Parts: sequence; structure tokens; C-alpha cells
Amino acid sequence: MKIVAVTSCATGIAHSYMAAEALTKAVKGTEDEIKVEIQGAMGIENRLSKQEIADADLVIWAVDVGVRDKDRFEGKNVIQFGPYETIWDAKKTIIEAKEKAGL
Amino acid sequence: MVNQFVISQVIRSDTVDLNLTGIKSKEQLLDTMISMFLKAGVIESREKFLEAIYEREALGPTYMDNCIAIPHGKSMTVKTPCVAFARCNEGVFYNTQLGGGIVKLIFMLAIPGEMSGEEYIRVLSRLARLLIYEDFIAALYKAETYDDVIAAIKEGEKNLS
Repeated sequence: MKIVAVTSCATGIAHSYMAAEALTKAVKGTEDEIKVEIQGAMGIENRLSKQEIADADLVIWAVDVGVRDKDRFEGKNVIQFGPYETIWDAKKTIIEAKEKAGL
Repeated sequence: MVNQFVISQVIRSDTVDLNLTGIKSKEQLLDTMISMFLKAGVIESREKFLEAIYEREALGPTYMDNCIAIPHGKSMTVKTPCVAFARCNEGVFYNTQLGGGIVKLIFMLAIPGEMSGEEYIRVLSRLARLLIYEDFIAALYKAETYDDVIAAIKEGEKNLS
């Protein structure tokens, strides 16, 4: 399954990176593939293109602040979590996201 | 030339303390770790660096759950990028705006004032990414020597993209 995700955290950039790494690690060795965009103080890293988002089977936001350039996600079923829960149990995040998306 | 982005290359034997005891508060913890930087010649002024650390603390928690904290400061008083690591098995309460919690593993980052924001984020992000690996955290708890810490970080950094 193709997954795209955005991570962002109100309290600091480090959490956004931890959530991104956790999601990437969670799909390692599975049939899923993931690209994670990190939105932080320094801008957007590993930016998702409109096409990548359109092609994704599952869209996850692990954020507790507004997502930048939201219009890219128009028409997609976005499953949202907080960054903290994702950091320490990203496998659960992905399982729950799939359930919520009916996949 | 030291690669400034590789954590294992900026953590020094004189900035690692695996047996920090008798620490009663976050203030005392930060102070003790800053002393390591001062003794190692990483910073020139304790006061200036402390100020930078607290400026950052005021922006949001550097407490990362899982008994980990990563206080960091960027200041002209920092002569060379460096990471200090302390393990405090008895735990210290690390208070933050969101409540905080007990910390046992503390990484403190000293970032030179002239380092660009982008480089700064790269160092911080590498460390942050390392912290979600259970094997890495377990190795930090098990480490008996500075070399064990370096080995754990090098092993952990292999996982990073």
C-alpha cells in the first residue's frame, strides 16, 4: 500500500522528525511504502507532490498544528493523529489509520 | 575534518557521564552538564550558554517522553559543535510548560552561534530520529564506558537515511 504522511508539532521540530522516523521504521519489512513530509520551523522537508498525494492509498497526518499547503490534499480521506502517539507507537497509528480509512 | 552532522563524531569522552547521581532538580542537571562543556573547552561562558539553553526551553518542551530530554542551545559562546550525554539512573524530574516527567537519559547540544539554522536542524533531527529506536535506547542504558556509547550511536546512525 502507498502511504503518504505529514508530521508537524507545535512544541518543536525534534518531535516532527521523531514521528517521521517512527512511521518510516514502522513500515520497514512490510509491503507498505511510505513517504513522510516534515513541516517545521525551517520550512517543508521531503515535500509531497500533488501527484504523490493523489496516488496514495492512505494519507496520515501526525500533527497538532495546521498543515501547510493543505489544498494538495483536497479530495483525499486524511486520517489524523497527534505527533506524540505516533512517535511511540507508529505501528498502531498505521493499523488504526487503515481501519479508519476502511482499507 | 570533523563531520558536524554525525553525532558520534561530536560527542566526546569528557562530555559523557554515565553515572550522574545526587541530582535533585532540572536546574542542577542543566548546570552539571554545562560544566562538562566548560571543562572540555566547548563553551567560554557558563552564563551565556545557560541563557541560550533557557531561551530554547521557553519556546517549548525538550522533554521527549520515554525518560529522555534533549536540551539545546545555540550561542556565540560555543566554540565547536558538541553533544554531552548524561545517564542518571535514579531519574530527575524535568519540568516543562506541558508538565514534563522523569528523565534518565539526557543529551545536551551545544551549537555555535554562526552555524546556520539548516545545519542546526540537521544535527537535532539526526539525534531525534535516533531516539525512537528501542535497541539504541537499550544500548544507552547498558553502556558502561564512553566507547559503548559511541558504539551504540554509530550502530544507531546506520539506521538513519
